[in-house]
Amino acid sequence: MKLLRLLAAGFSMSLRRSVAFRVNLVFDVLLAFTGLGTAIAAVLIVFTRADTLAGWSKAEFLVLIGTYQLITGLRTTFIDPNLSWFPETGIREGKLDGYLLQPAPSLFLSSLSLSSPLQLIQVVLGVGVLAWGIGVADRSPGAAGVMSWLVLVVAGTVVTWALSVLLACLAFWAPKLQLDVFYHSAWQLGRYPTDVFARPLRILLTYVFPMALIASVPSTALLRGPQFGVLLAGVAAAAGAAALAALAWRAGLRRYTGATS
Amino acid sequence: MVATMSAVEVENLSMSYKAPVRKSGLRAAFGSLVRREYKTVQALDEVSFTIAPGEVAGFIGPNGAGKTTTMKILSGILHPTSGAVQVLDTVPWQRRSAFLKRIAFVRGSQPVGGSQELTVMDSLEYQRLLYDVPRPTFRRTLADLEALLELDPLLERQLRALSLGERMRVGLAMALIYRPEVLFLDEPTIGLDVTAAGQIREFVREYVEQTGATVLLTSHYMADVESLCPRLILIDKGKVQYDGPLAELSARLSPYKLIRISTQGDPSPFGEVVDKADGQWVLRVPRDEVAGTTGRLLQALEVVDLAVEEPPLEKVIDQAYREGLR
Repeated sequence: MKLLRLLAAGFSMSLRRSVAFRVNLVFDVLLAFTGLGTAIAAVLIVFTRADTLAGWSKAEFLVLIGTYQLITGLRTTFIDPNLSWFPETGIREGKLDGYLLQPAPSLFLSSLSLSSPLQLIQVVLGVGVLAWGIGVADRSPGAAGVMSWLVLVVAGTVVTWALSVLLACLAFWAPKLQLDVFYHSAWQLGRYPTDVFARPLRILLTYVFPMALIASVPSTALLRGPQFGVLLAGVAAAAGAAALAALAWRAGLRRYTGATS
Repeated sequence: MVATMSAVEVENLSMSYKAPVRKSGLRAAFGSLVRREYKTVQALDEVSFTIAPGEVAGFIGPNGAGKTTTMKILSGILHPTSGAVQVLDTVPWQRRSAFLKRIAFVRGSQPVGGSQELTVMDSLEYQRLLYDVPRPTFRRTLADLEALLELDPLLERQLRALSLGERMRVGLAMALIYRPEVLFLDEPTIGLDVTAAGQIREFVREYVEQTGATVLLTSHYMADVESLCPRLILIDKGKVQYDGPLAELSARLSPYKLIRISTQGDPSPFGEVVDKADGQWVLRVPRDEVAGTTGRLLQALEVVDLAVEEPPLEKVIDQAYREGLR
């Protein structure tokens, strides 16, 4: 409960300070539009020549892009302001020391206490594209489809958080390693359905670095109907990833604080 | 658990860590890829001391002596290699919320963390939530702090727009808004001008008077230590070298006192002349001869004014850092 209040307070404070920068606001909106616009344009161009791509229709592709944009928006709003460049800001500049002194779980403070609310524009745009995709689809999704999409989006968001935490945890063992750039490039792969990739990459993106869960899996559930197995796997993946992240954080913290036990 | 009569209890505290070492040059660099050599650095070596509730202790020592490491252990950021620590009857590195709400660790080098775009008031509000301070208490404490720290003109400002002195004041306000009982102040006046440093000292004194808080304070400025700390703990190379009243340290380190004398005559036969200007002389005299020499001076010369002084603490401490205590 306290954590939710802290999250809300952090968000509201960030909102207050970011609306003060009007120029930033304009540029953030423009950036979000261009990023999304180019992604959609590419898809529309492809679909002037073909009806399906790797088994995906235009509507499905739009739903996928919308979902991807939604989760990306959540990531850049709530997670990135905390964990990006963690080796530099968290450890070398001593932000973590400050968090360790505060009476709240250090993992929460380090990974979720700050936010950049303007990035929610991406979420709004994502929902827009999603609605567009659903609008042009041959058949509209059923209630079960919507529900499982929702569950899988939550699962995808949890996995995203866990991956960011795991990446940050590397800094405890290798403080010079900055993998953010690599992570953000790999993230871009999430905007395509995994079916378009060759098999080895597809397996990698499904099981090792589960970008599939970010967009492909929820989109499939929304338009092609839920599959109980996939739903279960998604929830399990989220729980497993979160547990792993918490464990890694603990181990890393033990190393950081010099605890021998 | 039996409540002890001390706020901070440190027993045989040791902290060592392994640091990779290699000789200079390319060959050694490649060699260290295969076989890495470590050197054990002993940051703290069997440090023991206790601080009573309400006591203000100065924690001094040269750079790298282990002061900050000790403070990090006492505030729960680091685990020691061995030894026992109790702060407010709690083991700090368990980092229990209830414990963290009762202590504060403020570093002069980075007084305010968090988002630099926030205003001071927003940051204080966040502290209120984080530390579960009830609103009425928060308002009262804030009013007190506003008066003590002259916060009023700062509340609406963004953290990043504050000057160094203002940052330190805000840093203290952020820490004290939840009324901690034990304060660890790591060089609170570093980089501040004389006025700002004086303000901070004055404030710490008043806070201690009002709340009875326990303070452990490190500083390289002897003015801080002289004006705030009746007791000094001197640490060097990870070991406690001295623990006791300031005056005693000064006496132990410097067997001399200074006699400042205004006279038209020549007092040089009575002691070693340290300084001389416009009929003002400063003589260095062994401590146990001060009374006798003063008497003889007054008899032999026409003295306008005479004062006996301790040698400046800066010099005494400098000597202690360089030559060690015997």
